[in-house]
Amino acid sequence: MIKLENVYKRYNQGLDFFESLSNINLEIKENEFISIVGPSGSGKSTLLNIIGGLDTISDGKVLIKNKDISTFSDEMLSLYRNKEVGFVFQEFCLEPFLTVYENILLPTHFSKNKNRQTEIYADKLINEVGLLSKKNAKISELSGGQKQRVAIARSLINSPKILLADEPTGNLDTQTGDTILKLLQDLHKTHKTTLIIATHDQEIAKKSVRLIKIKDGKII
Amino acid sequence: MILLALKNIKVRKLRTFLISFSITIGTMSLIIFLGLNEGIKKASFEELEKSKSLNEITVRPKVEESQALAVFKTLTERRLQEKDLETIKNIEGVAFAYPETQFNEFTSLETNLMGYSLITDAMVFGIEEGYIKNDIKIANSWNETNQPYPAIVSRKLLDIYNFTIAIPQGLPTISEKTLIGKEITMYPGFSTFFPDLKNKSDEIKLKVVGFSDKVSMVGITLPLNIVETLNQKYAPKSKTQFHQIHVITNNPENTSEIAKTISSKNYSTHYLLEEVQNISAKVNYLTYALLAISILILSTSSLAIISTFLGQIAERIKELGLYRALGARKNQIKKLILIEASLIGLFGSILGILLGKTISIFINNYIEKKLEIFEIIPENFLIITPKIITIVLFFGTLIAIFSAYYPASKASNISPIKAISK
Repeated sequence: MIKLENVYKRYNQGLDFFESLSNINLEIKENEFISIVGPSGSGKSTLLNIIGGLDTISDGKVLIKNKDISTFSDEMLSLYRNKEVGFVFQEFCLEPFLTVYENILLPTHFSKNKNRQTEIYADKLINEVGLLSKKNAKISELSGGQKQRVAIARSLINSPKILLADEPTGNLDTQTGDTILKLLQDLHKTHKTTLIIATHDQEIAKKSVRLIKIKDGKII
Repeated sequence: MILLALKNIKVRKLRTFLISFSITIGTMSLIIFLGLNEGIKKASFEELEKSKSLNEITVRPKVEESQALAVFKTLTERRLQEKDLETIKNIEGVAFAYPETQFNEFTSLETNLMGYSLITDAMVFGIEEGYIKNDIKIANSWNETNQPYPAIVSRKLLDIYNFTIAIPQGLPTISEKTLIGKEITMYPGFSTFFPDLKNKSDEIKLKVVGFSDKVSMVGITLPLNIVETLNQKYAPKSKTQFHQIHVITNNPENTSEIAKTISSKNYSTHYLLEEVQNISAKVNYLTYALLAISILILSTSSLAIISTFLGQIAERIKELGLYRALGARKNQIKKLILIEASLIGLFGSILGILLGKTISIFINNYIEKKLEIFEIIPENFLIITPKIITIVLFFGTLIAIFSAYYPASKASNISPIKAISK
């Protein structure tokens, strides 16, 4: 489903450049649950962002369902992010002025498919992440764990095939982190998504089916 | 998208207020200026219509273009004669032709008003009844051949007296009602200005029988035959002459054509349509000037909106970047910002219109109260028509959208990855 061929990511630094990813070759199957593990600055987030269509590559190919997204126009990439990928960020990235329910429905504003069915689906997701009682609550009224649950529900609203989580438990205590991880695992199974988690935590990584270690931009 | 824009507007109260305020001030100025322009235009045309109807042409002797040549022509040569009246009456489409003459001797008029004796130099004109029959308030009075002779006074003259003499000097104002039937003494050959003409040897009694917008403002108007008789007695050297002829056409649509025919016979013509065109041209200059001021105000509003939006975009990088990360296309981000701008613009414009309308009502009421005794003061100084409201609403919203366009374009180029990783 996901195939990276000879992927390089370089950043210009004056006359020189910094190689964030170097010759990455990777294949991820449909419905797989993998962890990308590495220390801070190893390039794991960059790799995740490239798979998610948030960042571009300097060289190589990123094939999603046999289509090279590195050749996509900005509009096609937007469509890909909206329909095919669900993002869970370490910082939650929720809209503070919207309610839980409105935050979950946010991606549907950009896909023109906000209708009664998506609203019913949003209700189902709120239930699945255990926030039914907080449906109309403001984000500021929620705990860190609850915020991440909202972010997870939001990532699933357009029924994506790929779920990308960048340090999803990074801002949570151990117990809440475990619960969130369990939730991600469960939803990955019930929603039949490919789950890719980028983390520096070996304990989290151990729970995944496959583990990819990355260091200095290279898979080791 | 509209719901999301509404949420953004609601949550960013300061921005919404600042932009709405800018638009409100701009649209309020625009609606007041346009209302003022409309008021002036309407008042000018109404004033013209009062004095002339669409089927009326005023015919005067042709004035030589070269002033040097005109100096060598005698006065008589430049007056209209009976033969001119006949020529004009015979033109096809002319229904009536009323000659207007004037008393060819210095004269003064004296009257007693509220205990004050007023005497002034004045001109005396003569006109046939047909021309002013609707303005005569005392029935059958115009055919009176004995003194006191009937007299018609210009309505504007009364207003000018009230406006420039009565109020500034604390004297009582005069209404038409109080002057009807009032006696006036005319002193032929007497002048308050010239020391050689101080002999009140003769006096003629006149009686005010009506007020008209059609008669000359610089004197009093009597029946034509009376003025002709007075000329024979007091200015026998002058021939029977008319200084102008009022032509009434049988169809207002033919007025321009008939005026051209009269002009071709070496006469000078003046008619409402022509004057309307002249006034329109002058009012247009005023419109352009007021529009220029409005554009200046709206441009300032526009700069304020651009600045506010740019500031907001800088603050909203993370939020807009998140939208991009969640799948918003560049044009959707632009659309979102423009929808926000148009909604704020619409809101600000409505507020500006309401405020402008309130101010116009206040100004109209204030002027009406202060100047209610004056006939020449228009009913409304500011006239806000549905057309003006539509224009202002459209412009206000358009300015907001136009001003937000650059910030919106800038916002649409926000990189999702840079915004998220901030």
